[in-house]
Amino acid sequence: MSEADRVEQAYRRHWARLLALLTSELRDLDLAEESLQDAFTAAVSAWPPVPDNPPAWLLTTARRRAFDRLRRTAVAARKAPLLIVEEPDRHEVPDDLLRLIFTCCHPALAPEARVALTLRCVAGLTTRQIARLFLVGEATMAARITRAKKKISQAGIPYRVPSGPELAERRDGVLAVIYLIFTEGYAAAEGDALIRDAPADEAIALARMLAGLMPADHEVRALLALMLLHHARRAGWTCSPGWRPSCRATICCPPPAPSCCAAWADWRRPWPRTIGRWSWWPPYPSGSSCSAAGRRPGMNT
Amino acid sequence: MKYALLLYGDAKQWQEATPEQQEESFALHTAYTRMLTERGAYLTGEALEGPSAAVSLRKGEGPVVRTDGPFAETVEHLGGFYLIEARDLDEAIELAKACPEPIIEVRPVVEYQE
Repeated sequence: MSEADRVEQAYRRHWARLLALLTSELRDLDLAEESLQDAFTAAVSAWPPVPDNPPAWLLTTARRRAFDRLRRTAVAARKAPLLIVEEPDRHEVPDDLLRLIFTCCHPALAPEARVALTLRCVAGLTTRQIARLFLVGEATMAARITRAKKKISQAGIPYRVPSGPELAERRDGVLAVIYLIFTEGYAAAEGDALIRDAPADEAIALARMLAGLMPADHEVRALLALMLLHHARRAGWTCSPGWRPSCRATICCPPPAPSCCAAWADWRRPWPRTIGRWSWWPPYPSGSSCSAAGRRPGMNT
Repeated sequence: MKYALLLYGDAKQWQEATPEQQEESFALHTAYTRMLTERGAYLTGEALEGPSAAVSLRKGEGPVVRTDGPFAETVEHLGGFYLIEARDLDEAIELAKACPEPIIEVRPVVEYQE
C-alpha cells in the first residue's frame, strides 16, 4: 500500500470520529473541519513513516493547527484554554460522533443543507463529491455547506444529543436525512439513470454507523434493513433485455446483521410491507408494465 | 444567547375578537411572561398596535416619503415580540413552543463583541 493510500485509508476510517472529537473540544464546526483538513494535508507530506497511531497523530496535528488559527484571531484568549484538555482515552467514545450527526441534521436547517452537511462532516465526502452526487455545481454546493455552518454558529444550534421525548422526534429527522440520501440513489431525481449506487452506498454506510452508535434503537435498524433490502433488489427494479417479472434479489451487499433479517422476515403480509415507520412496495407493479412511477419508497406519516 | 420571538398573526382576527376572547389571550400572555420570568429567560416583550396604525418611511434622495400602513402587504403581520435569553437554539425553540400564538419566528440576536 502506498503512502497516499494510507492517508486515504486513515481519512475514510477516522475523518468523522476525529471531526466529532475536535468539534466537541473547539465548539466550532468550521474551525474543527479546517484544522482537521490541515492535518490530513500535513499527513500527505509527513508520512512515511506512518506513525504508530495515525488517528492520535492526526488529532494532535489538528489541535496544533486549530491553536495556530485561533492565535491569529481575536477569540484566541477565550477559546485557547479548551485546547489544553488532554483526553487520550476518548477516541472510541461514540457520543461526540452522535452529537455531530444530530447537529448536522438539526430541524432548523433546510433539508438540503442537512443532507449536504451530513455527507460532508459525517460521511467525509468532499464538496466536489457531494455536488456530483446531487448533480449540482461545486460552487452551489460549497455555498450551501458554508451557509449551513454559518447558521449553526449564528443561530446557536447546540452540539448535543437531545434527550427524553425529543430524542425520538430528532432521531426521526436524522433517519429522514439518511433516507433522503438513499432515495437520491434509488430513484434519482436528476441524470439519466434511475438507480445510482453511490448515494445509496453512502446512505447505507451512514445507517450502519448510526446503528452502531444507537444499537438499541429499532427504528435505526429497521431503516438499515429496509435500505439493504431495496439495494439488494435494485437489479429487478429497471427493465433490461431479457427482463422477467420475477423477484430477483441480487445480493451484493455485505450480509446484514441477524437482527435486521428478523425485521423483514415476515413476507406474508399484503403490500406495502412495513418495518417500523418504513414501508416498501414490490420491485414491479404486479401484473403490469415495469413503470416505477409512484412507487418510490416512502415513510409512513 | 439572546433570541427574539416575533409573533405573527391576522390583525383582522384580533380586531374582531370579543372582549372575552381578548381577555383570555391577555391572560395567556401574562402566564407565559410569568413562566419566562421564573426560568430567568424573560428580557422584554411588547404587543404592537395593528397594521392600520402603522406608517412606513422611505428615505432616499429628496424628501422622506411617508406611506400609510405596514411595509409588506400580507395577511399575517408582526403583532408583538418577546426578547428572551436562552442557552441555545433548542432551548429557545422549547420556550417558543409554549408561546400562545400561532406563528412564531425565532431569530437570534446579533451580539457584538466589545
